[in-house]
Amino acid sequence: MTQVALEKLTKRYRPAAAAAVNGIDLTIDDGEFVVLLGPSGCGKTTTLRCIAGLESVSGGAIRFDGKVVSSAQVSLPPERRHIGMVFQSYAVWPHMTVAENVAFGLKLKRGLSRADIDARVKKALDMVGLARFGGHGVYQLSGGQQQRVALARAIVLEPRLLLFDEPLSNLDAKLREQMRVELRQLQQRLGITAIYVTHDQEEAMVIADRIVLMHNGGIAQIGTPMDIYAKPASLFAASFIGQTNALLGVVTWGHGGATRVRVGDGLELDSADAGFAGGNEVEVLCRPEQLALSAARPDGPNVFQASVEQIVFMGNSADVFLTRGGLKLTAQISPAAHWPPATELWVKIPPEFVRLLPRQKD
Amino acid sequence: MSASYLAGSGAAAEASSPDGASAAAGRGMPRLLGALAWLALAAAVVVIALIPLVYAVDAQFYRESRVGLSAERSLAAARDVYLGAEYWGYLFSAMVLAGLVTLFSLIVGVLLAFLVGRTDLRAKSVWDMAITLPLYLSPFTGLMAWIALGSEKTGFVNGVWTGMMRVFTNEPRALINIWSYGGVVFVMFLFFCPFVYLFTVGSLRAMNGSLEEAARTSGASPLQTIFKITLPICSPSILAAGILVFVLAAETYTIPGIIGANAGFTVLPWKIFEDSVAAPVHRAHAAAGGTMLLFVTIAGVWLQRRMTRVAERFVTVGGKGSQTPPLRLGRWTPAALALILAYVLAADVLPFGALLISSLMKYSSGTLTADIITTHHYRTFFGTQNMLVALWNTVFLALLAGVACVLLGFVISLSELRRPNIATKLLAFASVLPVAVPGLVYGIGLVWTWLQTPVYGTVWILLIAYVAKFLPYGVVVSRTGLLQMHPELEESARVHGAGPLRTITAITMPILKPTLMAILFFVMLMSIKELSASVLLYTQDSQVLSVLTWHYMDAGDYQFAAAIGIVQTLIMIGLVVIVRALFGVRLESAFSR
Repeated sequence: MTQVALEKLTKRYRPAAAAAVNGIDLTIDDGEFVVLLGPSGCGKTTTLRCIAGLESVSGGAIRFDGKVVSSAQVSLPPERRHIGMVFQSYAVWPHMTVAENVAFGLKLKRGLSRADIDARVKKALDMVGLARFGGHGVYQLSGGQQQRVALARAIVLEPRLLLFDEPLSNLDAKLREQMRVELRQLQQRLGITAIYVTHDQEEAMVIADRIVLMHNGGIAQIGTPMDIYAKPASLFAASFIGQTNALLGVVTWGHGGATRVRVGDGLELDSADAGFAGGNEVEVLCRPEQLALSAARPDGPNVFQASVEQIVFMGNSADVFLTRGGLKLTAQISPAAHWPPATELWVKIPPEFVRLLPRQKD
Repeated sequence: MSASYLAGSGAAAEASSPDGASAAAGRGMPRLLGALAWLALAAAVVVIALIPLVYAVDAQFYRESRVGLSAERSLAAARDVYLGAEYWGYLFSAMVLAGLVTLFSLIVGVLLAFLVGRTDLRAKSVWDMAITLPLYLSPFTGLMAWIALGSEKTGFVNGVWTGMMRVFTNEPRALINIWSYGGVVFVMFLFFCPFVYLFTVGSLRAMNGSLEEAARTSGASPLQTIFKITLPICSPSILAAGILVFVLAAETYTIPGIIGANAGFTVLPWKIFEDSVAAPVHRAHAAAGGTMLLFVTIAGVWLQRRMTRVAERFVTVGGKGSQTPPLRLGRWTPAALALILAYVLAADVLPFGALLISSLMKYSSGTLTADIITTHHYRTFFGTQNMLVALWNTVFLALLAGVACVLLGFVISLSELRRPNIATKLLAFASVLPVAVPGLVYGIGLVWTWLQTPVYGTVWILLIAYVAKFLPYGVVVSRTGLLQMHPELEESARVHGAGPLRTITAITMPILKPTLMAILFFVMLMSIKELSASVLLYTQDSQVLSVLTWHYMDAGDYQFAAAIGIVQTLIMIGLVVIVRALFGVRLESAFSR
């Protein structure tokens, strides 16, 4: 229900220190579910807490629907921002029952009768699947249930913005998978703008309308999950999201819609990426699932042999570690198969899946 | 559905959240009030805790008069004390005494802690309660009880012993004589040993069990594990306890004083006390001696803090904390039980019994005969107006001191943690300072601070002394409680609409209730048994139970003192029992902060 705009947002914890968030620009549309994704220390949680008003801002501004809520001069306190927030530790209050936790914010508002409050609490608990738990003390609940209480508490106030700070990281794997789908469904039903912080790229891809990939206090790339996965703009983006084979190469020739590049000990690959000239140094990227493996020689471009080092069985898929000369590659095959080590296999990579990026000097 | 769900809230949001700038300005007024309130608090703490200290030290630089201090400055007293041999002798004496008490407390305390904490002894919780019981009793009442037990001619133990020995000889000698140096060490040991026990048991519990398991899987026997792993890891805690006991023992004057005066030795704290109250008074000497003592206690507390910080580094937090299988005592069980029983007997059972019996006797005697029993003392106590006033004062002051320490301590810690800046940190530091100051020195300082004011000679000066002395517990314990509380509990309240004040009252305080209750009752307990400062500050009109026991002991009326001691002890035990039963609060946690 609210558009959030970050304008050159900067946050420094100590005046002389490096900025935790370094001048980022971002606009989040009404009703959008945006995920801030990145490794520890990239600034995603700091950004979220600035949006919540739990941290002050060193520079730049945060606007809700055009109005400034945070800047270096001014900070609207968190209780006046009309946001709901779900914390990593759940933060459900141990001295209150489930219903009292959810009703807390409602009781602070004026003009709501007891009956109103009870009705809204009931509706919120229904929505998160805790209809029968209103009278329970929170210590009786499991982690997943406590998280739902936190969620109910956040949505019962009908906030204009929902913030999530790694809410699922304390849950076990199965529950995480289930909850992230439920969270997305809930948000879609309510249509509330949501900002979600996580370091788990799988979670991000399931939940997000758009992913904001962050690194070292800045934004590395913004895009839909499919865009970022298929077209990573940097080596960081390619390796953080999904798995990637990354090789150093030199362009042999490039024209029109194709480029040929040489990697390692002389292996030449064709790529459908354009815009490179002979002699350019490039990063050659391809996803493990795009390597087709076979015992017999297939037709087509980008076909070469490699030998199996090790196979790791993952259930519905297997990771195959290959070597060729000095090159190491990982392939992913599904369903899983098995070859003994030192088997020679034929590898084929379609040119449209050989991505090229200019070589980044660190 | 989603449209209607949100439409109303959108409009409401626009109406109630003005532009950021005016919102910030609108909060100016409460901010100013908050700052003023905080300033008032800081001033109160400075007046209560710091100014008496300044006076206590400053008093040594005046010329003494027959009744106290004259208005002119002089270095005579300071010269006497620091440059002469006399007071250094007393200091040495105090430190030797403290050293002995510490030595025995460490040996027995650690042993008891291991027996209860690491072996397969049964009824552990009973022993645990019994061993820590002396913490809730007044050491002075313990002394009274042991005087009743261990006096050469009239002590019960000697009475029973000589009765038995008459079978063998005609002139049996007494078994023990409490009126000796050994007697002082013994009684002080009984009451300080639980500190060592508590610190050690706490350290054992906090230790990650897998450290010992790793030793066992590497081939160490249970005993080897204890000596090579467990003890070394616990040693910072044990050392911290030892230093604490040393400091407390060095500054005690009541026990070594009463016995030392008769047994021919003097420790510095007693000399300071005598200089302060026994005619002719030497107030400047007392102040100088007190400053001397202050150096020792400050150094000790500083050392103890360092040790505690080292100890904290050894604690592995988190993880499932497996417990090592207990040591099997086997044939050592009787010996272990004998040790524990001996301690419990000496520290709990005998003293309480002796006190009770003594309070029911007409006069001191080693043998108990029917005609000697009387309830006269109790009837007198409950029938005399001033006694009941003293009883009322004790309870009333304890309650007030408790509430004051909880509120002040909580506010000081909260502001230090939530708004950390130079001012709040300084205030927290200043409020904890009194922990290093002996009650005696405080008493001296308080007398001088409030001498010319109407507060002097009333119960209010006692209240000030108690608050100053026990505020550090309020600050430190509430600080620990606040640190253990996840900040997200408060943040989520803020995000969902609660302002800072509402968050404190609706979330922070209720969650901290057990901690705050523990502080309240702990301070109440300590106030009821406080003696060292009270003795200097009381007057006829402002008596409390502890000084009454002192007064009657001093006058030689041991039986009446015992009766008062029983009343005082019953109140304290009652408090501990009620607090544990009603609130489930374990007060011991406040001792080993």
